[in-house]
Amino acid sequence: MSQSSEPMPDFKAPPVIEVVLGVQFDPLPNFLTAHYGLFWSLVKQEYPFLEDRPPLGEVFEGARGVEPKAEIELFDIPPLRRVFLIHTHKNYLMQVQPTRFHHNWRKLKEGDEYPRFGSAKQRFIKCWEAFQGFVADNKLGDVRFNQYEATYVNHIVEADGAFPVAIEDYSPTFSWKSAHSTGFLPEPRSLNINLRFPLPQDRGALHVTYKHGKKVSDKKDVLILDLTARGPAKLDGSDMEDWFDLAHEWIVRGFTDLTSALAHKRWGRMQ
Amino acid sequence: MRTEIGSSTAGSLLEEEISSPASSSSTMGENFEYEYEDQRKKLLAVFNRIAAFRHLPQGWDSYRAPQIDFATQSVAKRIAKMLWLSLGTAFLEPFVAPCSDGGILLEWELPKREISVTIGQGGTDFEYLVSEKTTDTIVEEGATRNVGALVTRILIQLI
Amino acid sequence: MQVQEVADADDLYRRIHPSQVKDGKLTSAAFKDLQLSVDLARLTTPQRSLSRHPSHGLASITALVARSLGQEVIHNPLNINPAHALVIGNKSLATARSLARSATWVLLPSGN
Repeated sequence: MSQSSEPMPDFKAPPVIEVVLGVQFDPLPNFLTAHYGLFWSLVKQEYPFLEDRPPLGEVFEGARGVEPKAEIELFDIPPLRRVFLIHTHKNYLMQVQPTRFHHNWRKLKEGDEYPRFGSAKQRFIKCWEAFQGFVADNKLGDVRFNQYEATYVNHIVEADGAFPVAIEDYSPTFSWKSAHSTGFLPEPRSLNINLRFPLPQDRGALHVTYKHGKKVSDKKDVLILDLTARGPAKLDGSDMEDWFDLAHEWIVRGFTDLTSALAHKRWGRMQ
Repeated sequence: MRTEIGSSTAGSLLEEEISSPASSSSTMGENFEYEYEDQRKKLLAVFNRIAAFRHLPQGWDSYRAPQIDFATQSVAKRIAKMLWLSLGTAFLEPFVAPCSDGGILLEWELPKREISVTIGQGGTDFEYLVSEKTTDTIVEEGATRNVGALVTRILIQLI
Repeated sequence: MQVQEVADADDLYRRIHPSQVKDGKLTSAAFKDLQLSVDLARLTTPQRSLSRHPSHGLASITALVARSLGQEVIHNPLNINPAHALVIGNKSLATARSLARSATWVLLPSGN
């Protein structure tokens, strides 16, 4: 159910470059290395490419913020890696490990259009159901959900050297003009801001991160605005779709709230 | 003065700063260099030195030293990463050495002090020691089984 | 060989792995062992202590220092090494550090 009576903001050309929807669950007790290959054989027509990555740690959204797992785990053998299963068009990928499943859309080149949340969510659910079916068919263990996660990554590109001072054009969160009242300090060279907003009814939190970087390919200055919603899940995952709808609303309304009217104009705000 | 630190961790503010809020399931971070890229490279250098210990065979010290097991390596890396997340550009690369009892030694050189930490074999028992360089006297030492408490003690010295 | 008394003044040789040396200095890492193996210096030579381990260094501590840190020092001759001795006792980080601080180089590891 929407938190606001206002229509959801919509942009013609939002600066979003990646959308990730994911679930975290208790470790599947019977998941072995071979199961990566077996699952891939079911989806390789659509997701033919593979890449290995280090596994992601389990992360839990607590009352005061993100908390790692309480106890230190000791392993006789190293934990299984995370595997990317990449779509033919490479814009989409699944991320699989024994404690997580994520589906990403990413913008790889100019012209790649953001498919909108409805489509991203549909793809995630379709792939998740395929994985869940695979887990059941191969008796890898019961899926006991513990966290949901939704992320929107936005890239705002400016002329070389413009950021971090130029952030105030896009987001009034930080204004260099107001910050240095006596004019002593030179302009900052880097910026890293983390904000955390609790979601309603203890459903988790929205994390907003501003980071300033340079693109490896062309060294252009980029402001990276990352909005990640993370929250607890019902054990059976029955609240999943509802949670993702809530997360999406908070991400979009939060993004709109934190960015300036000037920026909205540049991105073609329609609603 | 040697202290034993119990299970409750001090410094809740530092614990919050240790956590990393943004999603690490994003793939786009690989395409960027950040101002703190140097610090990331420092952390990677520490990880690589720890990872190299996996090649040390039984008896590597020419006596009976056990291999440095995966759990010990893993916890040493975790401690380094927790410090890196908290300190950002202030992260200082430690000296890393394998211990003859199968543990790992981490040491930081500050202008006036030296901080030493050992991760015991198996990665569950930790010791720390802070000494004054000019007088070579120990100003603080302790033992704990709590990673958070250990990192807090180190951060107090490094900040 | 018969077990001999180890006097306080006796020097004890300890081989040092290159990874346990920081800027040419001995670290506590090399002395962190419940039963620390050493050689009684008067029953061997530096070259013999280092034979078969050419990349290692050789450091020397005295039995007195080890005993002052609560350690037991005993001669423990082996068939392959009659000079073998043990420094026995729990070695906290502080104790291992003190041993490292009191040790002197006899031969530096190669590359140092």
